[in-house]
Amino acid sequence: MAFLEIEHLKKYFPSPRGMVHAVDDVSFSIEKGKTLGLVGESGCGKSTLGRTIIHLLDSTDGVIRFEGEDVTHPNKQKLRKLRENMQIIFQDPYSSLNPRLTIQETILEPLKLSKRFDKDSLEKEADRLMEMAGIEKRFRLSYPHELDGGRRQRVCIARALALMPKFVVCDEPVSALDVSIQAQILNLLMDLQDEYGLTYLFVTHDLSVVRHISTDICVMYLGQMVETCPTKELFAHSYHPYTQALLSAILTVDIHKKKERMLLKGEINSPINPKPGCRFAPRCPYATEECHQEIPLHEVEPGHFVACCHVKEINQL
Amino acid sequence: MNEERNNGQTLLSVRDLHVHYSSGGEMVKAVNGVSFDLEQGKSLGLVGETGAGKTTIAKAILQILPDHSTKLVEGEISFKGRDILKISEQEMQAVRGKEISMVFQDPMTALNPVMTVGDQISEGIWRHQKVSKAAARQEAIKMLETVGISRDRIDEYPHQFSGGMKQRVVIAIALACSPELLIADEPTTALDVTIQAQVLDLIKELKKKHGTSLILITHDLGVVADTCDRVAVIYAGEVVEIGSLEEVFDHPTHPYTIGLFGAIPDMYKDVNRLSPIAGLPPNPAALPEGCYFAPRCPHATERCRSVHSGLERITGTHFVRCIKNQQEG
Repeated sequence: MAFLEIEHLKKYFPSPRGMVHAVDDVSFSIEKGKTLGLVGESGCGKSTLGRTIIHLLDSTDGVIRFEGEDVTHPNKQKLRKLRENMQIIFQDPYSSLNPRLTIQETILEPLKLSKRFDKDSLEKEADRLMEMAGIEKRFRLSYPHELDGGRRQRVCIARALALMPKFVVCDEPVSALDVSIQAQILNLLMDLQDEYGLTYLFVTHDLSVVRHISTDICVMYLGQMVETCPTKELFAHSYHPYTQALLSAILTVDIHKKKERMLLKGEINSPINPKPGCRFAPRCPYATEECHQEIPLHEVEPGHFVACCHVKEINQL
Repeated sequence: MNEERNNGQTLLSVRDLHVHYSSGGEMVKAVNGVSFDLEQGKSLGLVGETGAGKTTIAKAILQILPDHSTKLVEGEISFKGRDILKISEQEMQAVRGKEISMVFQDPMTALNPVMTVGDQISEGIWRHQKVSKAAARQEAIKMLETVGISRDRIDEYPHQFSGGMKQRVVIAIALACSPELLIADEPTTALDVTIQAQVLDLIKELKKKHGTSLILITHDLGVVADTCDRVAVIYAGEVVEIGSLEEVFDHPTHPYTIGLFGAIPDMYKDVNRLSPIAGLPPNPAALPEGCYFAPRCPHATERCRSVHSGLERITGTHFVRCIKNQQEG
C-alpha cells in the first residue's frame, strides 16, 4: 500500500475564455518517508496539484488515497483530522505569516486549535518547535516584519510541523531566499525528514534543488505529467524531449563543462481548452502528425515512465 | 565596429565609489569603495546576495538614484575617459539610454502599461537620434525582430505579452540606440529556465554582433559562468574578490566566494549536505569593524575583526580582500 496515491486527478478552473486545465489527469504515488519532486515551469500546474492534494482546492475529478483510505471528498470532521496530517509550506514567507501575530502566537495557533496540550505545556511545546526549526528564543515576541526571509521560512516550517503531520507539501520553499540561506533551509528540511520520518511533495522549478532533495521526480508540462522516475535515473538519462530541454537549459557553475543547449522555440501555450494530444508538440523539435493523438504515460524502462510517442526513435531505445 | 571596440581599451572605470543613503532615520552604507574596470566589448558579472549593493552600483553609474534619500555619491566613474559623476544632468541625459542603457529585473514593472511596445521602443530612438517618428518606428520594428518578436505585434500593449516576451521588449528598448554599455540587472531572474536560456543567448548574440560591453548583475553563479568574461563578488557594498571567470571559478579564494559555491546544490555531483554560510549579511547601517565578512567567516581571527583589509592581487588579474590569504601568500 502506497502512503499517498493519486489517480487521474483533475483540477479545472472556469474562466471567461473557457476551462483552464490546470491539472489534467495526473497519477502518482509516494512511499512513506520519501520525497517526490514535482518540477516544471510557471503555469504548469505543479502548485495547483500540491494544493489540490491537501484539499486547499477541491479536485474536479480523480481519487486521492492517503494511507490506503479514500480521502477525495472528506466531510468537515474528517478534513480537520486530515489537516493535522497534511501540511504545506509556501513559497513566500513574507505573505504567508500573519503580520499581527508574534512568532510565538503564530506557532501556538495550531497547538491551541488541536486541543492536544494543556495551558501549561503549550508554551513549552512552542519553545520546542522554535528550537527544532532553529529560531533563536529571543525572537519569541518579535513580529514577522522584524525577521529576515530565512528566519520567516523557519517560522513557517515550525508552524507546519506543530502537530507532527505525516505529509508536507513544500511549495517552492526556498525560491524566495538567497543561496546561502537556501542551503540552510534545505538542510533543515532534510534533517527534519530523517528525524520524524516525514513524507514530502517538493514542488519547485529548480532542478538542482530537486536533485538534491528528492528520491523520485515528476516532470510536468501544461497540467500533465510527461516523465517520472527515480531522481538518479532522470539525471542519468531523461527520455522526454521537454525534460531534455529543461535539463540542458540549466546553467552550471562548472565553466569547463560546455554543453549543448537545446533551445526551445516559443513559449508555453495556453492551458485553456487545450487541443488533444501532446501539449509540448508546438515547441518540440521532433513533433509530427502523430503527436496530435492522446499519448498516455508508458513504461519505457522499469520504473521510468514517459509520455511521448517518439520516445523510442529519439533515444534510440 | 566590432574590431574598433574590441581593442582592449577601457570603456568604464569605476574608482572608489561610495554611496550612502538614509532609510528610516539611519545612514545606510550601501556601496563602500568599489573599483573596477570594464574593457570594450567585454562582460563583467557583479555577483552577490540581496542587499549587497549591486543594484545601487548600477544606479550610481546611470545616476538614477532617488534624490530624496541619497545622501552621498563619491568617487569617480569614468566612461570613455570622462568622469560622468561630474557632468550636468542635461549632459547625462544624452548618455543615458544612448551610450549606457539598462535592463531591469522585473519586465512586468519596467514597461509602461498604457503605451504600445512600439512607442516605447521608438521613444528612445527619436529622442536621441533626431530622426522623424516614422523613421523611429521603422527602427523599432527592426529592433523587435532582432529580439525575436514578430513585427505585427508592434502596436500591442505589454499585458498582451508573456514574461519572456516582455523581457525581450525591455532588451529591445535598451539596445535601440546601440549603446556601448548595457547594464543588465538580474535580467532573467523572473523568468523560467528555458526562457532564461533564450534571453541569455539573445544578449550574448547581440553583444557579439554590436560589440556592446556588458555589466551583468546577478545572484546566480550559473548565469555568470554562461555569460561573463570577468566577475566581481560583492559583499556588504565592497568587492571582496575580482578576477577573470577562470581565476574566480577555478580558484575561488575569499571565504565568502567559497561559501557561495558550497551553498549551491550541484547538478552533477552527489552531495548529502549543503554547506550553508552561517549567519546573515551585516546590516549596512551598522557595519562591523574590520572585515565585514568576519562575523560569518569560519576562518576569522582577532585580527580579522579589527583590521579592514584592502583588495590585494594574488595572481594575474585576480584580487582578493582577505588578510588571511595575503599572509599565506
